[in-house]
Amino acid sequence: MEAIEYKCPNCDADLKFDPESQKLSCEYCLSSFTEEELKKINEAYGETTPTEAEVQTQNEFEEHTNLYHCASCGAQIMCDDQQTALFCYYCHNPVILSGKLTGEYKPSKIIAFKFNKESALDTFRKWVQKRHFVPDDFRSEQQLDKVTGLYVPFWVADCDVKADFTAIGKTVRSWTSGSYRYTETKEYNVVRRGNITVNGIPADGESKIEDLLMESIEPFNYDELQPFSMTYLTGFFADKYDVDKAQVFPRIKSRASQAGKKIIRDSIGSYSSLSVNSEQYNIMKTDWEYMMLPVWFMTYNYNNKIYEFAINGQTGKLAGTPPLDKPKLRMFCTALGIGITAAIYLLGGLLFG
Amino acid sequence: MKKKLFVIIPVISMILAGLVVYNLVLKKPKNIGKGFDGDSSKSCVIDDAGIFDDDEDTLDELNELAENYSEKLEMNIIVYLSGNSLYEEKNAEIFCADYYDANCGKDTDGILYLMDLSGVSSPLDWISTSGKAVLLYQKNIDAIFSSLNNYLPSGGEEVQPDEAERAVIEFFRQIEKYEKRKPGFFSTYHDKETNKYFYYKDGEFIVSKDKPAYSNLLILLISAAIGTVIAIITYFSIKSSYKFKNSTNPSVYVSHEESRLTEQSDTFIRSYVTKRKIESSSSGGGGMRSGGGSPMMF
Repeated sequence: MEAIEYKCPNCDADLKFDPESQKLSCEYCLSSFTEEELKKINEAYGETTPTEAEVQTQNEFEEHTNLYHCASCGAQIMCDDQQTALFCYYCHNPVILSGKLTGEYKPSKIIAFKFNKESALDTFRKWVQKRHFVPDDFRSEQQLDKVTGLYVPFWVADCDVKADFTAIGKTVRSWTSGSYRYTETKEYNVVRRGNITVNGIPADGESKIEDLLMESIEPFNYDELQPFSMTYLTGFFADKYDVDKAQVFPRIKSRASQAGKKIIRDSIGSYSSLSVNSEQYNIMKTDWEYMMLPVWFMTYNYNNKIYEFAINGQTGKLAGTPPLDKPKLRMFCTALGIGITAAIYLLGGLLFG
Repeated sequence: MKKKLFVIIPVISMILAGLVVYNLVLKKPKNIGKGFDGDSSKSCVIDDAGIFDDDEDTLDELNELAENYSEKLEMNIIVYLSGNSLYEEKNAEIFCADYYDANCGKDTDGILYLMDLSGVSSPLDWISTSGKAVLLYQKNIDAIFSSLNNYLPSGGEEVQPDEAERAVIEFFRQIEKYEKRKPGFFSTYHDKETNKYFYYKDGEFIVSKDKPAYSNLLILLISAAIGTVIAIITYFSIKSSYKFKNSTNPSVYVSHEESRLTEQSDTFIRSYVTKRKIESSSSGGGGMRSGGGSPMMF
């Protein structure tokens, strides 16, 4: 089995993809190259280039992607065969190599990491700084080390939604004349029908990660989509999907309908009240794309509950539920209560004593 | 700054709580009470009316009894049998206070009972208390007099020696009875004239111009209630902020260029008008007529 190696033309060290420069960079001699540059250099020296290998991406994916299995939480992590996954990004327990992946798991597209680890950690630090009642070790460097650059498998759907909406809208006008109050009500038959196109609704294909968490770090900028290349996996982990298209379709349908509903509702003027007679959003056509999207991911186990945090690896948008150190909060509130009690007592003693 | 606030608030709270604890528990009030010096010889029955002139043995017995009760109750006990009426309460009050202070000392523990044996139609008996006797007896003076009245004739009649003797003995019994009923933990007597507070603190009797800390119990309870409510509101308010924020609205994925409404109509169906009588907010009825007078001013 031949491994795809991205070697530095200068020092022959392994090259890794650098999100910031969007180039393959060498950690040793600090050189960086685009794929094109590498191709030219390698061609000049008559070497096999990774780009050439990418012509057969399907085969390469199957050959050069290792699948690791976490016996503890069941996560399946894949990474190229140049790196070894030691720990599960989710539960931080050791993982074991469980084999290779078949071509069906190869994504068609990918958005590369633009937000590097330091930037992700800075974002996280700023976010956690505002939260005073998180457990102390949640801020620790040891915890921050758990941040993992993860390509999350996403099913991205383009949907044509047929909207059919009818309602009775009412406008009300009131005025006073003499000793009477008059109210005029006008009723309208409100009809909205049309086709709404929703492009790029993502739904993650990983059952372990909270769907809401992934929805919260959206949107991704699809203008930066690239054809999948093993190049991008270098230095990062990737998740193998365990939720297929059929399983995510209800989520896609619900979100597409939600988007359609907003368009329809926004097109309706300001009625005093609206009695909906019928409202239907039917998905007429769905085009799917399976892609990998970049996410800085971290979990934190507190009181036997796993808290998940995600930072969009492209935009830096962060989402997650901060763990609450209830004893710390209770102590603070008790101190506050005692302080207020004491202050009022002393003040009251001065005024009424 | 906000981060510092979360440290400063508990620190200030603890300092304030410390002040309250100091005020409630540790602070020693300035005790101007002089207590009882143990000298029971100051306790006596003064027969200024000469009622026991012919029966000095009885007087001696009463004097001995006064000393015994003085030792037992640990306070000075003086019974003054007066042959002259002082007629006015203020006079009696001043006389008793001055006599007691002159013989036993100011702010010492003790009681003086002035028995009016002048034979006037409205005899004026008086009880003056000092030190711990204030707290023990001041609220029970009416009850003590009520008991003594069982042994003394009504006004205008001459008091007989045996009646005076029984009344004095009853007085001793009464003060012993109320001494046994120890005042409660929060029992305080405030003399508004002298602005002195009489109370026990940690088993020690205190006479002080400083109000006892526990007298602000109501303020403490109100403060604690407010503090508790604010603490609970803060707790739940912060707790609710540690929730997951809303997810992205999928309408961001709508392609406005590709989307189109094939039918968009608002067709008028009908209109109708309703009317209702406006209720007047003003109501009839007679006005109020004020009357009465003002208190007489002197």
